[in-house]
Amino acid sequence: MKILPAMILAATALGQAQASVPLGGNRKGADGNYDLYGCMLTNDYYVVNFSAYQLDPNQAKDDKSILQAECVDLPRVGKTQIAVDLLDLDVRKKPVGLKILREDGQVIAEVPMAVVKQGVLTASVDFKTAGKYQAVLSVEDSDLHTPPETSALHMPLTVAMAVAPSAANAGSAKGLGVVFGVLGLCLALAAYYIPRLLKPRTDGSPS
Amino acid sequence: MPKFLNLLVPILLALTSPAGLAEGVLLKSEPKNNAEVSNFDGTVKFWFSGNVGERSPSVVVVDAHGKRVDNGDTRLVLGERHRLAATTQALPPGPYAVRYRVITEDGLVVSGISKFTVVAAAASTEAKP
Repeated sequence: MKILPAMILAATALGQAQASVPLGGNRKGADGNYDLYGCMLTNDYYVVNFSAYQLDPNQAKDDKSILQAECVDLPRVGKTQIAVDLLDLDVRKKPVGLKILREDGQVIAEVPMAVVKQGVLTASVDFKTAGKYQAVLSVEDSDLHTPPETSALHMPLTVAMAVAPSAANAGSAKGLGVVFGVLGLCLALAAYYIPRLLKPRTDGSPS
Repeated sequence: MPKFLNLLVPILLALTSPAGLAEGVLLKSEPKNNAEVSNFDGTVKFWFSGNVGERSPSVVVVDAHGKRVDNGDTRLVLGERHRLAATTQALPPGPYAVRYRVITEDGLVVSGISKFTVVAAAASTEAKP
């Protein structure tokens, strides 16, 4: 019986060790795919996880389903909640600011420089027109003394712009189709000929 | 069963579980943090354990004014001990700061700041008579 408490503690400890959820897990990435990295954006200095939340106008008002986090390609114009997770722990102790810029450089939303201890910088933006935008994270890095505009992390955004599959992706999809077609043909031929080759010949000739 | 084993068993299991070993950890750096070096060889190096991945490794070296002095040639060599390195320009005496980063295959970020100071080399050997 004495071993029971030890086993319970062991199970608890293992459960905690394996419950470490990777940052960005099960989130949409910049290429539209879902992977463990999520929407991780970097420059040489800093790394963040970017999320944008938009209300779907087709969604029923009483629908309480969780909003899907979008990456840098936002599907529609309108009010958007942006969240930037600061993944460098030291940056959470330093003043950070966020600007959302239109393609012409005009600032449409700004979060003033402040320390964000929780590590999540949020901003409400109303994207009125489709097009290209930019989110810029600035850090007053007291360790590096680099001007914030030099080390700023620029995150290019698109709003309500249909993302066409790239030519490379289309090409690779076509290539995969050819490969599967050839494999299928080989299998069909093998299924037809192999049983006939293995079948013993009954030509009736005397031995 | 001795009482101390009731505590020891779960602690050992937690420490040796795969998930516990998976996280990347900075093992050491050259130059060491806050070191004074007189014979800097022009390369900063960091060694990590854990499941470090190839995604977005980075090393930035700046001088006391925040001017970048590395050559932008970050290299990550994966192995038993993963080695992250970058070369710098010729560094005159003074304080320097290094921002380093690796990302594990689980998407966890291991990053930080390391500082060192380049000091003038000791006076060369005196001329012999």
